This record gives sequence, structure tokens and C-alpha cells, in this order.
Amino acid sequence: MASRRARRSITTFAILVLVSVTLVALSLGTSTGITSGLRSIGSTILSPVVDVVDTVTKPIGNFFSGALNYGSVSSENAKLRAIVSRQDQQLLTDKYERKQLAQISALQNLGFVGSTPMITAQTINLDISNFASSIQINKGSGSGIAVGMPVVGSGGLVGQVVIVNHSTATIRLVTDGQSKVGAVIGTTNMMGVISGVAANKALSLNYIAPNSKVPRGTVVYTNGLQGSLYPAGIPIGRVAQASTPVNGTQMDIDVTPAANLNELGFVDVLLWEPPA
Amino acid sequence: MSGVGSLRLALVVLLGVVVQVSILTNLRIAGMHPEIIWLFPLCAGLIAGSELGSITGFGAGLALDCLQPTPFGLTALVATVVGFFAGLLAERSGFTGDSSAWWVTPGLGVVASVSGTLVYGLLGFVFGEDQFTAINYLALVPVVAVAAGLLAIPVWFLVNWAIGDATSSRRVTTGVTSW
Repeated sequence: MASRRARRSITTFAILVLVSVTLVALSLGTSTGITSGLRSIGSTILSPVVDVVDTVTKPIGNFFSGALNYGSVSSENAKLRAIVSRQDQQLLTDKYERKQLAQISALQNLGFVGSTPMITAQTINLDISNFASSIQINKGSGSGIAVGMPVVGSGGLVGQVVIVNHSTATIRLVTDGQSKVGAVIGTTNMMGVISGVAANKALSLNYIAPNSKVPRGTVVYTNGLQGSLYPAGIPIGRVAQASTPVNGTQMDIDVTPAANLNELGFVDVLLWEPPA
Repeated sequence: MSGVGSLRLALVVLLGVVVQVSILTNLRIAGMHPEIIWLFPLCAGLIAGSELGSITGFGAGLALDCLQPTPFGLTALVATVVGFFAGLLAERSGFTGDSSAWWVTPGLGVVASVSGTLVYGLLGFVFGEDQFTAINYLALVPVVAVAAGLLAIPVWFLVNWAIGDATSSRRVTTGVTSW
């Protein structure tokens, strides 16, 4: 009996390991497919419970946090009031300018600018895992958000939707190691792929021919090539340094993200999906 | 294990996942948050043996994988291994939480959680997640260790309550000797 139990235990272990490894292999390098479906189902089941606990525990946490930091909270409030009043004023000016920009964009056929519908969402969680750069937002499939949609904000590309359920979505930031974005340097035809390295680290631009002229500060945009995961023309970042290693087959280019990824209170999800 | 016991264990694991995602995620020290998910397969393995340990690990890991933008299945894989080896340890050593010194369960919790986190990082790298090498493990390991040490006993009681009647069945040793 003991050996039968041992065999059963080892068989169960082997099967579970095999299933896990298969799931990992299927999930690598793609944000869609079977594992995405499984993840969405699981997330849809679990998220309501997480949301309820979040709703209950966050105010308690905020209360203690506020009580412990009362002085700084008061001064921060005063600063925020001043910022809001300045922004009210700016908003009136912006409305007029936005109208003009939309007209110009329509005339010049500038890709996504002003033409792609978007949803503004609030960031409700940062870095759910210690091992991934991500944020969670308070809008989900109920608002029309789907896996794969690009997210912009705070001056440039923020990332891509990777998990979605009815009321929330998780965004993988461009700095995450799994993030890969097709890019074009400035107004040139030099195209490459921008990869994330880790949180708070510069992005890496790959596949640019050695000794190409890439001035520091040049803006890098999404290239929007056929099959690309992002529409063309979204600013990703600025070139921080570019050099060609000795005997290198490509340039070594660091890009600083255009978006301030440490201050993502609100983001815009572009209701855009890659053409099939 | 009875149907009621399975349901209770599922609820306890679900509670663990929810606490991990909603409360512990916001408890940041040096930019890192505690990871308690490894404690559930550890306790299940120690209480009920390697089979239930690995099943609990797989379930808990998969549930967490659904909510995190990391490779799907990786937490399940590592937690399965943690649960299985915890069960194996208990089966071969005759460990019982009730009769051992008070510090043994927290100690095992620290070892399992730190090992789980490091193995997770290593396997992630093996599977091509280069950014896993850029994690500040010097900050992460102490945070994980302290949380595991503090929470191991509460988790032990929860899992023990959930499993209940299965405790006695583990006492029949599996006789695994060749690991």
C-alpha cells in the first residue's frame, strides 16, 4: 500500500510539473493564445474577490498611512489644489489647441494621433509581482478594453494590456523584460526593436546597423509595420546613448522612456488592435 | 481527503492568493513586497504528504499566475516542487508540526519561501526571462524571509484546519527512499 501511495504521489507530481512546464512554454513570447484565455478566465473568477478585499483594506491602509504622514499629506493637498487650478486654466487653452491639432492630424493623415478612440483609466496598483514591471488600471473588458491594446500616457508609450477582466486590466510596462516594440528612429528609415530590461532601467534598441548616425536625444517612435503590436507614431523614448561595440554586428543603443513611468496616475488605453 | 476538506483547502488557498495580491502587494519595503504563496504548499506537504503538497502548490500557483503578468504556469511549477519536497521531507523524517519545537515551522517557512523565490527567479531566467537577473535579490530575500517567518504559523493553522482529517492518513509513510 505504501509503495502504491508513493507511486501515485510521484505520478501526480510528474503530471503537475509537466502541465506547468507546458503552460510556461505556451505563454512565452505571446500575450494572446491559449494561456491568455486561461488567464482571463482565472482572472475573471478571482478578480471580484480581490476587488472586494482591496476596497475594504485600502481605506484602512490609507487611514494609517495618512495618520502617520499628516504633515506631508496636508502640504501635498495644498500643492495639488494649486496644480488643479493651474490645470483648469490650461484646459481652456488646450481645448482650442486640441481642436486645431485634430484638424491638422486629419489633414496630414498622422496615424493614431487624434483618430484612435481611447479610454482614460486610473492606476489602482503598481507592480503586482516582484518579477514584472506592471500596473493595474480600473477599467476592463466592460469598457471595451482587450488584451493586446496599447497604452499611452504621461508623454509617450506606457505598455500593453496583458490581462483583462470585466472591471480591471493589467498593463505590462515597456520597461518589462518581456516587452518588445517595433521602433523607428526619428524621421529616418532606421528600424529596430526596443526591448525592456527592468524597472527604472533604460530601454534597449536592437538591430540597428553598426556605425549608423543616431544623435543623442532623437525621439524613437513605434514603427507600425505590418503585424506590429502598436500603431505607428507613438513616441517610445529618446536616445540616451548610442555606440558600436568593437566588431559588433549592431549598435548598442539605450533609450530613456518618453513616459514618466513612475507617475502614472492616469493612462489612456488605445482601442486599437493589430490588424488580423 | 473529504470533499469538505478539499473545499476548505481551496478556500484557504484562495484567501492566501487574495491576501498576496491585494494586501501584501501594497506593503513595500525597498521596493519589494512579501511573497507568502510558498507557505501554502509547504504546510500542506508537511501536514498531509507530498501528493497533497504538490496539488496545493499547483492550485495556489496557477491562481496567482492568473493575476500576475509573469510567465503563466511558472509560479505553479515552483509551488508544486515546494509542496512535493515538503511532503517528502515530512514523510521521510516523520515530522509533525504539533510535536516539533515552535521555531521549526517558521524556520521551514523561511527556507521554503526563500528557496521558492530564488528558484522562481532562476527558472524564469532559464525560460528566457532575462529581466529576472536584474531583480534586487538582496532586498527581496530579506523581505520574503521575514514575512515567511512571521506568517508561517498562522498559515500552518489555517491549512491544518482545512486539511483536518487527512493529517492521519499521511502517517502511513509512502516509503519513498530514492530521492
